[in-house]
Amino acid sequence: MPPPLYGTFLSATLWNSIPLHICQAENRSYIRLTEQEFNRLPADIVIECFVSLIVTCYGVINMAGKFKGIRAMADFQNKSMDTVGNRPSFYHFAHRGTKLYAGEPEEER
Amino acid sequence: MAATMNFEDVRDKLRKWREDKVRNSVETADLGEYLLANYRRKLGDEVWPLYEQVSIAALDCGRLSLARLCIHAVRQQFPHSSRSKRLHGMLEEAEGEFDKARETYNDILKDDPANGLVMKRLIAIHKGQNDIPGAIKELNKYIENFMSDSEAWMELAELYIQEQHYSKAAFCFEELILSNPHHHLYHQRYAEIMYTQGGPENLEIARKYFAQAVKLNSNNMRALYGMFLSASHLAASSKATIKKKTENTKYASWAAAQIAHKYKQAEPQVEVVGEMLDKLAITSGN
Amino acid sequence: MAELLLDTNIRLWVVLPIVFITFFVGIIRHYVSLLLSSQKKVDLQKVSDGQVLLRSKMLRENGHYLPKKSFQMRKHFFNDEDSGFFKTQKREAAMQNPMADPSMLTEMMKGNLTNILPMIVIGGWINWTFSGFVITKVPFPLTLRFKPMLQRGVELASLDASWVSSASWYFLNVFGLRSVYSLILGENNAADQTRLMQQQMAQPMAMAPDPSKAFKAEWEALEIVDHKWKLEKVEDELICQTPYQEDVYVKNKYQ
Repeated sequence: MPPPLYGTFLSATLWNSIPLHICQAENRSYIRLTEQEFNRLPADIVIECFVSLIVTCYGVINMAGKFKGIRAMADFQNKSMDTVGNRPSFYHFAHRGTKLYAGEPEEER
Repeated sequence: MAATMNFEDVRDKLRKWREDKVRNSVETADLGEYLLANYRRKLGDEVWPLYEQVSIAALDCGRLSLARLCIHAVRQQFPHSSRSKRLHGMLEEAEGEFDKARETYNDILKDDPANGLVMKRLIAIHKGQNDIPGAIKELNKYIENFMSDSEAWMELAELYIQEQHYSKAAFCFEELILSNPHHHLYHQRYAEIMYTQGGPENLEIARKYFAQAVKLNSNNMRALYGMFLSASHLAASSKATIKKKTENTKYASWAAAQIAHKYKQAEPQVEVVGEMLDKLAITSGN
Repeated sequence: MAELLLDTNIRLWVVLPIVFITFFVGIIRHYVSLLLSSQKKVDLQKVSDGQVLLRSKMLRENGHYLPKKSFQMRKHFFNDEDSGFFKTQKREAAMQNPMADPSMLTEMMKGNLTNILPMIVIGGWINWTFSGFVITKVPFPLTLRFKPMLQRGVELASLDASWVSSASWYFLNVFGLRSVYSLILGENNAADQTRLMQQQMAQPMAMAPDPSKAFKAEWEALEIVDHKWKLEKVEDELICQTPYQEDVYVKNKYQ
């Protein structure tokens, strides 16, 4: 069980993205109002984005729990050789099953 | 029994058996007959694969009249289809008229020379006439053309086992392992053939493949038993080195513990497993 | 950025009809091709070659599950200099000249008839009928190079390249309705033109790849494979594993 700290880390950085977006949107509207040319975002927002990205990655990697193994042929676990070893193209009918399970005797054709 | 189940359950059951290729002929014929007699219209287009399934099941049980009905219906609907002609050929086989069946199949092959299913029926005719060596010869020729056909390799393996040519059967199972390396049953069966052949190298290989089968499916009791037997046989062999003896004893005891644990999980009262395992362990050398 | 206000009648009488026309033409094409399709003759040799290549591929990929001797035996069967399968089997190069082979010719003609011809005809008709105005604006900015292609009939130098005419809306529909077709008609339907175009681009000449080239490639691939038995230490691996494997994910097909 990964330490709860990673979970807190992760949720903190993910939640942080919301105020970050708001900052950026406000910045753009301010620029538009003051009719300045918009070249790039202010440096502090960019740095904050990168830092939160790295911390998010770090948190996700450590939060990933123990993976369950996926069996390649899991649906074969319950099958027996009777079913799997069945070769329907090669059935032949010269076995005693035809005599045992025929039911009522067939009338002559 | 069929009258107490409702239509959807019966249809789904038959569908599942059709997809999984289960050979459950008596029940299939009964349930299928019930469906076809009472719910033909409700089935819609699914009625044709169902006819095929029921006719083959009926032939398997020896209920030739039911089979004739189904096959006749299919032939009326699809008169020129090679699939329906093949069913007719199977009917002739079941009636014992192998020459007529052979003629039917050869006719189909004239129109469609690459029809693998019909070639397989020709091989099945040999089996029906109890001509296993002939079947093996024909099957080898078939496999030369269709090298990746798992069903054919498995059939060849079973025929070789019947003729007790175990090394050739092992070769066939190796092909199956190649086609599907994660299937525990192939490994287990291959290991059984190796164990049957006997000899220290073959027993080692058998033990390894039994272990692989257990690794792929921990519930495979046969593989666990196989591992236990081959390991204890190797440990008890007089020609074994000390290192091999200890190794094999370790493996055998692990397998025994696993078997005991599985039995305990299933049946908590069973006490005799330990005794049985002791008896199984072969103590005299070879 | 020019903000145009389009007549709402365009939406009702141009955009929607083009969608319906494309859709129904596709459905009709699917059924027509089903009617016209003929049974393909299967050649035993081709099937056999395909299976041989498949078996060799299986050997390369899964060969380490076999004992060393078995693997070597099979590798020898395929790759040996004197008696190996890939060395001794010679296949003549299948130069399928469409003009010489009559059945190929009819196949090609049928393919063209059901796929290319309707597309050209309908595209041209739509272009002629709904010409002279822009239909819609694509949501992403396009460069000026797309203007003559997408704004056929509207010769305005200052108009943004994002505004497109009816022909481009038609082509957009052709590509876009693919997933709708696969939903309604199931996979592998004949209404899917893009797949046909991909096929035509990939194989301009013969359909079947040259078998001798395929054999040579397979020979080389098998030659470099080295056998390393995966079951060398399997018992120890098994014993060290968790003995009672409960935490395994199993996907149930019937659930």
